[in-house]
Amino acid sequence: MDYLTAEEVRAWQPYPLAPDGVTPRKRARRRMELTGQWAPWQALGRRMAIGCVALEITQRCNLDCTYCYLSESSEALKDIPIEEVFRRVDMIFEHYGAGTGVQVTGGDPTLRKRDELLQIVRYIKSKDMRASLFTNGIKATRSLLEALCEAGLEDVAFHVDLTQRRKGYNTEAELNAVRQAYIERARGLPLSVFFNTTAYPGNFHELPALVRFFIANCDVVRLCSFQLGADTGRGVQRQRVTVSAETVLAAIQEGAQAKLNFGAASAGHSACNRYAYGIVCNGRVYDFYGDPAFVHKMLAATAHLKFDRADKRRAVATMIDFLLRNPRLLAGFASRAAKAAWSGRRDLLAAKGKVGKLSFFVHNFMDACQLDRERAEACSFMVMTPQGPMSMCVHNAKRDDYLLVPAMLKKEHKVMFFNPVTGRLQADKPDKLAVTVTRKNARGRAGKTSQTSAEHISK
Amino acid sequence: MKLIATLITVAFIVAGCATIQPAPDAKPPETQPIDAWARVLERFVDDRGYVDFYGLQRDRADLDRYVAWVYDVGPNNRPGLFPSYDDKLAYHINAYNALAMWKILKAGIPEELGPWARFSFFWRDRVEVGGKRMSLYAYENEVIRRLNEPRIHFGLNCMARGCPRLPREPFRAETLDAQIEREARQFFSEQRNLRVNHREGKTYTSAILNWFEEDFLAHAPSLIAYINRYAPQPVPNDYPLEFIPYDWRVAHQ
Ligand code: SF4
Repeated sequence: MDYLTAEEVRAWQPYPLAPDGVTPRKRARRRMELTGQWAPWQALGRRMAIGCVALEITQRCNLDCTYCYLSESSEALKDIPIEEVFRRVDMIFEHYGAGTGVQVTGGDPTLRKRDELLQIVRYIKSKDMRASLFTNGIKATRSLLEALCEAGLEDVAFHVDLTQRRKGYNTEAELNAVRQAYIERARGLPLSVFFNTTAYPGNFHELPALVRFFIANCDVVRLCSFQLGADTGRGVQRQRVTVSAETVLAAIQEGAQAKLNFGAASAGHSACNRYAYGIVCNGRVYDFYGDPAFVHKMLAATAHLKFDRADKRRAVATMIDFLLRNPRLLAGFASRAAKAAWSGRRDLLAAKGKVGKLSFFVHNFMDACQLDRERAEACSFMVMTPQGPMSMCVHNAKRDDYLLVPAMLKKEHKVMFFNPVTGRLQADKPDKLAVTVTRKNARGRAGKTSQTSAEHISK
Repeated sequence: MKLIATLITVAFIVAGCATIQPAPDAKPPETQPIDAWARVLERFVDDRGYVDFYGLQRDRADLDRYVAWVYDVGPNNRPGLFPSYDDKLAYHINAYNALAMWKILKAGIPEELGPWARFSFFWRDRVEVGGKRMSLYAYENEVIRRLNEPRIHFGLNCMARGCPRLPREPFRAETLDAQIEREARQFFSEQRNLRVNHREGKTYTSAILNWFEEDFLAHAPSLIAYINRYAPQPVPNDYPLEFIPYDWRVAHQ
C-alpha cells in the first residue's frame, strides 16, 4: 500500500479550478483513469463530476461521538460568517456545476442560527445544486424541517448510533426509538430521508437487526449508510479490529436476507464506497442490481440524462422517454422487470402491488495516519476548504490548517478579516491564531486530558 | 419622571443610530428608468409575487440603476416629470417596492423580517427619494398615504409573505387605476388575506386592514363594506372581523 507520508499530507493542497475547456466531468474521469478506477460500474466521470461536497457551516456540536472526525479546536471556534459560507457555495458551483450534492454539515449545522441555516440552503438551491442536511437530529424539529423544505432542502441525513453516547440508550435496538421519532418528524415532507450509522466493534453484532429496522421503515427511509469508524479527528475510539467493509457488507445482507450486488454501480474508489439498491416488497428485499452487465449498459447509455431527483414524476418521465427512444434497452428492462415481478409474485400479491426502495451504502473512511494515495486521488467526497475542494480523508488529517485561518471578507468597499477565535472582524490580518481548549469546550480526546492548545501561523 | 427620562434617552440613542443607506453605485438608466424596473419584475418575480433574491443579487444592475434614479429623481425635486396625480402615485408605488427589494439585498437576504430586522428595515436605515432622505416607514406614512388612495395598500410591497402579491409589471400612470383595482380584487380573492369561517361565525382578514383602518374608513362606512367592494363573495355583515397575524417571512421563491 502506498501511504502518504506526513510531509506529503502537509503539502497536499485543495484542487484548483480546472483549466478552461476541461469540464468537471472530464476531469473526474481523468482522475478515475489515473487511479485505475475507470470501469463500467464507475459513475464518477460518467454521470457525475463528484459524489458530494461537504460544506461545514459550524464546527460546534451538541454531542461528543467517540469516532468524531472534528478537530480538538472545534468547539472553541466561532462560526464562519455567512458571506464566507456563500463564497464556498460559489466555489462548489464553479468546480462541479449545477446538480452537485452539497452536504450542509458541521459540527451540527442546526446549531447555526436558524435564519442563516435557511439562507444557506436557499442559496445552494438558487445555484441549482442539491442541499442535504447532515444532523444528529436533536435540534431538527418538524418546524425547522418544514422551513428547510420550503427553502429548498432535498435530503435529510440523521446520524444516530451508539458512538454518540446518548443518555439512556445502551443498544442500537434501544436507539430505534430515536430513529422512529425522527422518521415521524420527516414523514410526509418532500425529503429523502437517510440514516447514518457508524459501524464499529461496539455495534457490529446489531447491524443485521438495524438493517431490518430500516427495511421496515422504507416508506420514509430511502438510504441507510454505514460508515466505518476510523482513526481520525478528536474521537476517543480507534480500533476497527473485526469491522471491515467486507464484514459490514455481509452484515447488511444478513439483515436484508438477500444477496445484494455491491459492485454493480458506485462512485469513486471501490475501497471507499460500496453501494447496493434494493426493492422492498412485503418486507422482502430484491436486488435491483442483480444483473450487473445490464446495469453497466444502462449506466453508459443514460450518462447524459439529467434526472430531477426533486421531482419524482419528472425523473420517471425522463426515464420512460429515454426507454421509448431505445427499444432494445426497453425490451431488456421490461423482460427483467417481468422476471422479477414473476419471482416476487407472492410478495407482490400480499403487498397489493406496493413496492418500496432502499439503498445501502458503505463508506470506508481512512485512518489519518494511513492515507492511501490512490484512494485520496480518486476521492469522491470532498470538503470545501477556504481554498477549494479537498478529499475529506486528507482534510480530516489536518483540519486545523483550514480552521485556524482568518477569512477575508469585503465589507462596504473595505477588506476585513474574520478571526475565528474571537469571532470578530478586524482590519488587519491576524498572523497567529491559537485556541485554548478548556474544560468547558473540550471534547473527544482533549476532554480526557487537561488543557491543550492548538495554534497556527498564517502564511 | 425617571421613566420619561429613560424613554427620552432611549429615543435619542435610537435616533442617533439611524443610518443612511448610500445610493447604489450605478448610473441611472439612460433609457426610460421604468424599463429597468420592468425587467427586474419580469425576470425575478414569479406569478405568486415571490422573488428570486439570490438570482437578483447575481444580476442586480437593473435594480441598482432604477434605485439610483429613485434616489436622484422624484416628484418633489422634479415636479415637471410627474404632472398628474397618477404619475406621482405610480412613481411612489414603484419606488417603494424597488427600495424594499433593494433593502432586502442590502440586509443580506434574510429569511424573515424579525422584530430587529423590521426596526432597521422600516425605520433606522434611511434611503433617499428624489434627493429627500427618509425611512421607508416615513415614506409610506408621510408621503404615500397622504395621497389619499387606500388601494395603494394592495400595491405597496415590503417583500414579506404577508404583503399583497407583487405584480410582474410596474405600475404606470396610464393604466394605474385599472392596475390597483385589479390588485385590490386579487388581494381579497386570496385565502391568506380573506376567509370566512361559518362554523366560528367570523371573518378573517389581513392585518393590513387593521393597520390602515383609517385610510379605508375614509372611503367606506365600515371595513366590511370596504372589503365587500372587492371580495369575490360578499362577507357577512354580522360576523366580527379577526386579523390574520402578518407573515413576516421574506417572499423568497
Ligand atoms: S478518500 Fe476518504 S473521503 Fe474520499 S471517498 Fe475515500 S474514504 Fe471517502
